[in-house]
Amino acid sequence: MSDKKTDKPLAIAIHHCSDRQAKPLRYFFQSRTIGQYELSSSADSDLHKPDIHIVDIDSREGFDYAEELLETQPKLKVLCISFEKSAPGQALCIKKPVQKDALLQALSKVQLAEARSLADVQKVANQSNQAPEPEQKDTEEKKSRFHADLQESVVSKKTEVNKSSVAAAVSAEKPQPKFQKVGEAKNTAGAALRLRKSQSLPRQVNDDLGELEQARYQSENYLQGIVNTAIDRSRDEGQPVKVTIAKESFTICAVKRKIWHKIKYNTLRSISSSPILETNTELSALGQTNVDGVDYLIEEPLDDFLWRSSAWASRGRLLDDVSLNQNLRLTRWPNLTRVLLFPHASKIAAVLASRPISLLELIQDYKLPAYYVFSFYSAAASLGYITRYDGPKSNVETAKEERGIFLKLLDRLRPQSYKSEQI
Amino acid sequence: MIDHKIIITGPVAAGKTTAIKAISDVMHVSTDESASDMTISTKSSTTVAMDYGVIKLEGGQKIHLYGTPGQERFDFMWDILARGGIGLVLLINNSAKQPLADLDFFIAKFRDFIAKTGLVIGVSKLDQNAEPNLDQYHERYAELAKKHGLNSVVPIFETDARLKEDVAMLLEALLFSLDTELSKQHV
Repeated sequence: MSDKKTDKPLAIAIHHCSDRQAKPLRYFFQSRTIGQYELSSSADSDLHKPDIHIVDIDSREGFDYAEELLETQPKLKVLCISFEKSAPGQALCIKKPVQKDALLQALSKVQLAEARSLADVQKVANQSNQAPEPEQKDTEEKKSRFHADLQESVVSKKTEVNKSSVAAAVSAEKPQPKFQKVGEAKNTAGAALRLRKSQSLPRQVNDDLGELEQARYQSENYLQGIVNTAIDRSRDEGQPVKVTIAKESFTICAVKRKIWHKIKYNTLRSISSSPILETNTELSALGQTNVDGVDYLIEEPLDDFLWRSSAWASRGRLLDDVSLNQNLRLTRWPNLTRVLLFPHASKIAAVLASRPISLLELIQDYKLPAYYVFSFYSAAASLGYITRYDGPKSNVETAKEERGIFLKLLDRLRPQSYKSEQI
Repeated sequence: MIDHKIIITGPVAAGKTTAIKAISDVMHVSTDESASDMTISTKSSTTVAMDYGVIKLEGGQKIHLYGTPGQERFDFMWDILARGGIGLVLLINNSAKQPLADLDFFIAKFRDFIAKTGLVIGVSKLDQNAEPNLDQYHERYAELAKKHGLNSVVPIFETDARLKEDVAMLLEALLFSLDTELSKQHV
C-alpha cells in the first residue's frame, strides 16, 4: 500500500465487463473529480501492473478470470461486480448496477484489505451495497422516466384492456416453481454460484456439424419466440405489452423498441436457454392509465435483448425453419458495438452481407464454426436481419493485395475489441 | 514497405478527433484551433486541417489514420486526405440538428471513394438524442446506396468515440467488409 501514500494515483484495470457495465466505470475513473485513481489501458493490464483489478464475474470468462487471479496471486487486490453477490473465494463483491458511493467505499476497503480481515471487509461492502438513499433516488427517477416513456408511447388508439385485469396482471405475480431454473437462480449466493458454474458451456464448443444440424429447435418454445409474439402484439395494439413468465416479468414497447425489466443476467440466460411452457406465460397489454404498478431496474434496446435471448436459445442449434443449403443474405448488420458479441460474429456478418450464401458454404468454405454460424443465424433471423435469396449468385471475390496487412491489423485490434462471449 | 491509411470523416463534433486519440498508438497530431464560427456553439476548438494517428503493426508496418476537418469550408482537404485511403469511417453526430441530412451530405461527397473502397458508419451521441435511431439510419443509407450505386448493406453501429473498443469494432467491421476472404485466414 505504499503507493497509496504518494501522489501517484492508483491504477485500476477493468476486466470482462460488458460495455454497458464498463462505460460508467470508465467515466467514473476518468473523471477529474476523483483524482486518486487512473484507469489502466487494456494493453497495460497484465497481472502485476494495476493496483486494483475490477472483474465482472457475471460472464463465465469473468468468473474464471477472477478465480484464476485469486488462486494464483492471493495478495492481488480484486474487486468483483455482479448482479448476484457471490464472488469466488473471499473476494470483495459489489452489486450491479454499481453505485458511485458503494464503489468508492469498496475501493477503499480493498486498499485496506491487507490490514483487515477479509470477512470484515465483505461485511462492510454488503452494507454499502444496500446504501438506500442514492439507489432509492435513482430508482424513483428511473421509474418516473419509465412511466413518462410508456405514456408517451401509447398511441391515441383506445385500449380494450380492462383496467382491473391489467392492474392484477401488473401487481399480482403468481410465483410458480414449475420453471425450475428460474427458481434455482433465486436461491442463496452459494447455490447461484454453483448454478452459474454448472450452466457454463465448455470452452471447446461442440462443432460437429451433423450433431448440431440434428439438434434443431423451434423459437416459439423459447423466450425468443415469446418476445417476438409480444413485439407483434405491442405493434398491433399500439401500446406496451407486459410479459410474465413464472416469477419474472418484463414490459415491451414496439414503438420505442425498448424493454424494461429487472431480470438478473444469469436468470435471463437460464430463461432464454430453456424451453418455456405456454401455460407459464402471460401477455397483457398495458393501457395508458395502468402503468403505475410496473417496476423495473433495467431499460435496454429491444433488439439487444432479443439478440441475446435468441443466441442463448440457439446455443449452436439451428432454427427448424431453414435448410443448410438455402441461400441467405444479411439485410442489415447487427449493432455489434452493443449486442452480445460472440466469437466470429463480425466475420459471419461480413460474409452474409457481401453476397448470398448458404449456411453450409459459410461453414465449409469459410471454415467458420457451425456452432457460431447457427447461433448468429438464430439471432439475426429473430431480428429480421436475414432474408432468403433464390436468385443467381455472384463469384467469390479475388485476393486483395492488402490482405497481409489487414490480417496484421485485425490481430492488433483483437485485444481491444469487445471481449466476445461464449454462448 | 507500403503503409496504408484509413480515413475518418463526419460533421463537426461527431468524435473524429476523439476516435483517433482512442485508437492511435502514438501521440496523435491535431490541428485544432479555437472555433470562430457556428462551431463555437458546439465546442470551443475544432480541427482545421487534419487529425493524424498511427496503428503500429508487427514487422514495422503502419496503418495511418487521417481525420478530416468537419466543416464544409475545409472540404478541399477531404479529397487530398482521402487519396490512397483503403476505407472510410463515417462518424455522425446524432445530437446535431439534422443528422440524417449530414449522412446524405457525406455519402454524396465521398461517393466515389466509397465505391472504390469500403464504408462503415458510427453513430455517436445516441445517448444524448435517441432520434433518429439506428433503424432510420439503415433505411436512409439503403436509399442513398440505391441512389449512388453503392453497396446496400454496410455496418452501422452505435459508437462512443471515447471507447477504444467501439472504434476497434468499426475498423474490424470495415476490414472484414473490404475483404471477406479474411474470414478464412483470420483465427
